[in-house]
Amino acid sequence: MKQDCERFLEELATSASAAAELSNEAAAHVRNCARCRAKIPELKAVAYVHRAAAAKLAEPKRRLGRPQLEGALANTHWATRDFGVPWRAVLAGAAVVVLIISGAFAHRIFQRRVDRAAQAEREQGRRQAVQEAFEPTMLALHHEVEGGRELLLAGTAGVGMRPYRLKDAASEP
Amino acid sequence: VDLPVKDVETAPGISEEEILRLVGLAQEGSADAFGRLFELLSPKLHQHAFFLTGDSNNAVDLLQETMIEVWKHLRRFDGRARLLTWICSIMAHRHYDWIRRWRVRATAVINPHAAESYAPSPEETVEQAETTRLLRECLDDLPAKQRTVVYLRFYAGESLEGIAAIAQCSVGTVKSRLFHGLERLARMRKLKEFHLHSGARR
Repeated sequence: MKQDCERFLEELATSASAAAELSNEAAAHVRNCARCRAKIPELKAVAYVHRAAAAKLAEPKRRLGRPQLEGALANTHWATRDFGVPWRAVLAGAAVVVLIISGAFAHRIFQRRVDRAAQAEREQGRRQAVQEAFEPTMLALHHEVEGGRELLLAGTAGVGMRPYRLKDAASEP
Repeated sequence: VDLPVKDVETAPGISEEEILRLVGLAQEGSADAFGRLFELLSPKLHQHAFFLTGDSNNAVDLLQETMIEVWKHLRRFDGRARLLTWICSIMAHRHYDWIRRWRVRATAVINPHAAESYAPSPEETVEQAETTRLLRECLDDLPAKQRTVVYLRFYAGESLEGIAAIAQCSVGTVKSRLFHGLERLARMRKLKEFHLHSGARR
């Protein structure tokens, strides 16, 4: 029932404020709703008092004259005047521009970091490859003489010392 | 008894077209047209300023501040509501700022000699002055949005559509604010006492 009342609140207010008739639907509701029936005279009484007061507004003793107002206007700084600039649109546009610029800037910084990370990774890989290629050689480099031939042998120190032929010293000049 | 909402003329004897013409000139920057507009609207505006403040001196200050505000923002006036109502809404907002700033009744604190300057004129009986004061106090106790709608509806005589245009909301919202404003006013003890007293006098 209360939900029904909510539907007609606006109409009750309009009716009270403009002394207008209720619609058939609202009138039917009011007939069956004690709450709304009680509300209407309350609202109308308030509206009546204000309308009556509005009908006889009093005049003040002091008055603001046109010269006095023009003097006050002359002292108003010109920059404070609204020259019809659509500030909201201008601000919105500025905000969009700032967003675009900061987005591009952030993207650039991010891209740079990604590039640097990739470069560092590549560098790391390269170093690791060099290390892997030379470290075991340096660690396990030794030479042997086999069958009258001097051989330079190298093997990975930590991986079972499996020697392999790196260079045939005899073939070297 | 139902009183129709008073059809408040912007300026007696002057057509709305003439007023809009002057507004157009003032919007282009003509201070002379603005001064002429002020002269035309002055009687009504003084009444409204006096009603809101309850004091002659404050009424002049309020009106001056309002007109400066109007001059600054006249370009925003689009003619969807009447000029008088538009100015009244600015005046009501400004006055509400005063009240908020000082958190007291404008008449009691802004001017300590308010009671003296509020002495009713010959046209205004003591009883009428007391009624006006009471109604003003009740209005001041409403939330700002409801207060503006009730004030513009009953005192400026603006249509619901015109108020919606000024408040930049839908007509439904205006109706809702009007209902809640009236309901809140109806619940106010001061107003109930007033009804009782006026009933007893009758």
